[in-house]
Amino acid sequence: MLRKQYEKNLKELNQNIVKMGQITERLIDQTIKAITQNNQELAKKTIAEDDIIDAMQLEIEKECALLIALQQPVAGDLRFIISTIKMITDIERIADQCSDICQYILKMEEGSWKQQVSYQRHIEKMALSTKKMLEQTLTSYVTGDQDLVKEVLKSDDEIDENFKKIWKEIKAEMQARPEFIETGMQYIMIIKYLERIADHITNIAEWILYSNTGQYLIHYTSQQLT
Amino acid sequence: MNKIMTIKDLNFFYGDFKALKNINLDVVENEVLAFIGPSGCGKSTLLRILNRMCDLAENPRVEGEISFKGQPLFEMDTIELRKKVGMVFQKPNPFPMSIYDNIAYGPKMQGMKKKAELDEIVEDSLRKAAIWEEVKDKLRKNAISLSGGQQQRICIARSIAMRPDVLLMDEPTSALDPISTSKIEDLISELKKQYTIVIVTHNMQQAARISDRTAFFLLGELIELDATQTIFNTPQQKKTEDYITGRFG
Repeated sequence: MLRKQYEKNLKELNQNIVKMGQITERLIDQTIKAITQNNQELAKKTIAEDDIIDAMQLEIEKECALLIALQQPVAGDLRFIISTIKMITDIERIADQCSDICQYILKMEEGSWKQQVSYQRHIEKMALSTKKMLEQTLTSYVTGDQDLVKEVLKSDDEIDENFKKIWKEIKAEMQARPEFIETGMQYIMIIKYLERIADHITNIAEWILYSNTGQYLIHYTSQQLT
Repeated sequence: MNKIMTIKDLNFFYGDFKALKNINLDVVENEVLAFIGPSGCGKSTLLRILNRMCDLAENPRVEGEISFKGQPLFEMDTIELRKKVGMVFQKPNPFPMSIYDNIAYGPKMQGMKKKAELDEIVEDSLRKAAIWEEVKDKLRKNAISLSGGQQQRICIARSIAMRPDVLLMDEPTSALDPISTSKIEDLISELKKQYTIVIVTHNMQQAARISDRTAFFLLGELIELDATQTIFNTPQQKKTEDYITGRFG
């Protein structure tokens, strides 16, 4: 095998992406718990941990720039490095949005979540589906399973539908109970961020497909894929 | 897309050794076509066949057909063919004579005698080879005194003076420094407006930078031929990908 160091660098890059993805998965998990348990400590921890992801993004970006400058990658290797640069930007945004959600959790009154209304269950479901999307994306990144990537792209449509549904529910609740408006607006921001997280995961899935096949699916709808 | 050369079912032997196996390939007018592949893959052999320099090898044997502008290449007069299909080599090889005479040599051999005509063709060729400004005041100086990069452009000008249709280049920049290399590369991009260029290069980035299509050869076979951007972005054959990413071997 030629270019041993190069091979090693590419492998390390791959491992770092997986690691960054796993940490982000944990941040999503913590965010979900922080919402559903109204756990302010966990919210603070998640906000603080965003710095880890920021640092990793910078580090991986530097590695990519060095590989391009020193090794002049082409074909599959170049696609992999380009995808990596794009993916880490999306992963970093996901961590930011977890942090943003947690900022809203900190603003919420103690016990908000305990008010029994149907949309809460829907928000939880939406958050869990988002987490599953990231899990599937990371698995497809490691295994190269392209069907899984396509599944992720479809899940994004479901998340979008969920978003619209919960939006309506919160709106109705705000209209019925003006004292809920403050909390309701915070929930709307939270679901908006969840919806954005799913969009970023979709981007990651598209970059995985590009890296593996050279096909550009960015901005395609899931219907166009089938 | 006009095909200037068509290669059909070509096999080439050096004695018993089969150097090229069943090559099918078209050369398109005004394109830069790059041949890449590891040493011994047959790319230079194919280049040399295109102006019949292979005739000079020991026990050469050719099977298959090549046509040049519709004429069977192997039935053409080699002198006529080489006027139309010029060659630039890896190492600059100017004649040990003045810059002017290097360029005028071919046309003179063809019977051009009038000084005004010769002056014109010398200037025109040197201009096209992007070296006129550097040598216009020293045309009587020996071409050997020039730098490697300048000598190579003199050799390109010498080929151009014959008003060829096709220029074959066998690793034309491998003996040159990066600045001279980029001058030759710029020149190739300029020349393709008027000529068709087939270039053999070991420098993959060079093939990526300057060629329109790239052909990858391995052990005498043409593995893949496609638009250069496809070859370097999404090659179809694993062997091509392994070679261009440096995993071959």
